Amino acid sequence: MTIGIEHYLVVSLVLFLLGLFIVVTHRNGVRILMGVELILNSANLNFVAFNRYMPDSALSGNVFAIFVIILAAAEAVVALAIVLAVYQQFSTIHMDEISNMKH
Amino acid sequence: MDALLPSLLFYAFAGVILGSAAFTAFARDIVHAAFSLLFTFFGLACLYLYLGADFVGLSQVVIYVGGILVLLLFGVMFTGHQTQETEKRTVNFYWGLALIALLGAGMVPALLKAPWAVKSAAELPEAKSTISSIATLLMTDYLLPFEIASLLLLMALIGAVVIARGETKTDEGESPETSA
Amino acid sequence: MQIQVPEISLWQVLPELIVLATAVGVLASDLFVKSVQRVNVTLTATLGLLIAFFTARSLEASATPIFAGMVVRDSLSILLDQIFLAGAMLVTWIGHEYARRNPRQFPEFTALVLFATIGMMVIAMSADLIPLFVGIELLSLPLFVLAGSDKDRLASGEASLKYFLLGAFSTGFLVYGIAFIFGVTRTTNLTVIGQSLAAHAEATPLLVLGFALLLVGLGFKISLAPFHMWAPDVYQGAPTPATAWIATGSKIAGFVALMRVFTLPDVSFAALSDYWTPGIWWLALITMIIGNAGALMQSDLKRMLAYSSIAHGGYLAMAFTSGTRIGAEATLFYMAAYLLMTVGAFGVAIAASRSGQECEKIADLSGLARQRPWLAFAMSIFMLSLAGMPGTAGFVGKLWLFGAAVQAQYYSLALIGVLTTLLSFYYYLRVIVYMYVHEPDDRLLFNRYSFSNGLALTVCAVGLVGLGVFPNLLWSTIRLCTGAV
Repeated sequence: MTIGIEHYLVVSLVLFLLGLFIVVTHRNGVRILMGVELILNSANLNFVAFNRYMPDSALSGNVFAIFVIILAAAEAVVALAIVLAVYQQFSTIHMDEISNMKH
Repeated sequence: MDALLPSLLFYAFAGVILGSAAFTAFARDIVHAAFSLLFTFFGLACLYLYLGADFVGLSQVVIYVGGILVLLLFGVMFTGHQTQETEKRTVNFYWGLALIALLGAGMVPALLKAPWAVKSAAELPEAKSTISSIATLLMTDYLLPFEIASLLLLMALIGAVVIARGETKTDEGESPETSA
Repeated sequence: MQIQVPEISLWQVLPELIVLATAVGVLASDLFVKSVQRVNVTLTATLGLLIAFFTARSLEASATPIFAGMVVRDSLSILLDQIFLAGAMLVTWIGHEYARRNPRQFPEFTALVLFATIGMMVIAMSADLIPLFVGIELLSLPLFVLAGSDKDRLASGEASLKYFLLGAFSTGFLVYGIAFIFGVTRTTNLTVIGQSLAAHAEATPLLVLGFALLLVGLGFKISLAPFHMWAPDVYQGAPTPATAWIATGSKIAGFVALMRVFTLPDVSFAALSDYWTPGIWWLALITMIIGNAGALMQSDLKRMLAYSSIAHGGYLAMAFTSGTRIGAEATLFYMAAYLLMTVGAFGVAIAASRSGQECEKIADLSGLARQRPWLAFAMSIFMLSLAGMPGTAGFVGKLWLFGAAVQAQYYSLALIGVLTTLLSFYYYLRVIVYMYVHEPDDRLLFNRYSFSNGLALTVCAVGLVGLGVFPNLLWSTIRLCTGAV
């Protein structure tokens, strides 16, 4: 059986769902960030796969994937800064314990 | 027979990606989870190469594995000691499972039913190197977003410095986070 | 190889470039000048924003996309540029006051506000999903940082972490949705997407999935319920000027993104409104109810304003649902009014500090009218306008919003809107009662507020009353934007 685009989409979907699962269930800030990275990667896989399986091979899918990677890098830089700053203040990055606002 | 090897390769990559991603999701220890991501990112890079997207694949290795993953590991290590305690499986865990099962069941049919122009890899033209075409695209059609993306990176550097700069007003220009 | 270089019309993006130059200039001043005066930073930023504002005004609108179809300089983007630039100016002015506590960070603070502004302007002129996406990110990242820029308060760090994680998560949805849209339509160009959808106007499940995900992603950014849960914590914890810019600029830009993608006729998903309208209908309904109900129970001023901002997002979404020209016009008008009243309200929250004590609780405003009558009067205007009192821009705007919903025959939505508006009078009037009726609970005097803050509040108040009495000042310009389409 040859590999069709559905195969890639299913792989990417499972990746997306695993990322979603991490974000929903884990309370550690860095762990949540890992989930977000999985989601971004799943979108990238979609972009690249769609691009490959298009009859007219303009490369806009690949270009979009590159922009997503750039964004992920920028986000990771800011994320580490924020995580470390919060850790200095709270000595934890567990979301449930980081709470000093009255609701 | 010709189609067998590529198919096997695909399944191998997919297995590595999903297996390691699942490990990231379910592992109790966050350090293990972070290292497991290495395989996910590498597997994806292989899959991109497999799809003929050589530039994206290489960027994936250089930026994701070489940059983002390292930053994530920094984040884990700097904040790590309290995460050794195993996270309890809360009600959240089962809700999460239910949620992704539901979403998956809803979305898979949508994926499979969609009418695709090209069905199988056999009909595809031979993949060419995309590097020079992407370079041209980034400098012509996508020039403006490309420049805005560079702004984004500049801004990320400044932002990281603003956040990371300590209370002390003396340590100017110290910004360990900006190496990515 | 022959490389076709598209026309690079830099003068068309001159306002953005001027803002960028201002941001870099402000940052560089910190490098080269020993101990930068706050005044000079604010003056530089004001000057740059004013020049950009008038440059944007003088641009000639054209519906032809530029930069190889990436962006378009239509009258809509020119109008929105002016709104964003004016908003950035007001935020810089009220930030000037706030930065008294942390003058060292002020150049960076201003520069980040300006970077976010560039992101908003990029969103406003996007004609393609790629600049739209990059613009949304350029808008979000500086705001994450701004939320965490006050290192003296723990709440600030908490706010930035929560805002960042939710923001990054919503970006994931956004990108995943865009990937499906790209897969089905084979392009990221909004006009081409619109054409291909209009050609065969039945949605494949995948396409519906794609824009459902896109809607969820943007819903997080503009805090539509049920994607609003980050907003109260972030608004409360972030430094107040940053909150003001998150509440106004980021929300307006999110709606602009929705507008670019979903409603502008002839492009994008307008052809498929049967599919997305019910989605936004429900979001608007839930958002109006949750926002107003939440605001009723708050004793913290910024938290109350956060829920009020959620509620106003619901009103905007309501007009949006109509998908009509009048709906788009009402949305645009209300955006401008919302900007003025929300920045003004946060400006008062900054100005009404006592020595060494921020204004946090609504009760902290007690007795403001006696000591700072102008502050209390301006705050009353903002509150009444937020509530929708006749004579203010808030009233005119809401009237049009509800009118758009009624015209599109969304009677139940309009009814809920009117009912929740009546409800909202309670919590807005409570603020006024505290200022005018209650005695100050301690003998501490309110600080003097700076000239720039007073100026910002005056501009907001005069603007609100002015637009309330002469709505045509803005209305005619808006007509021009949507009349063309």
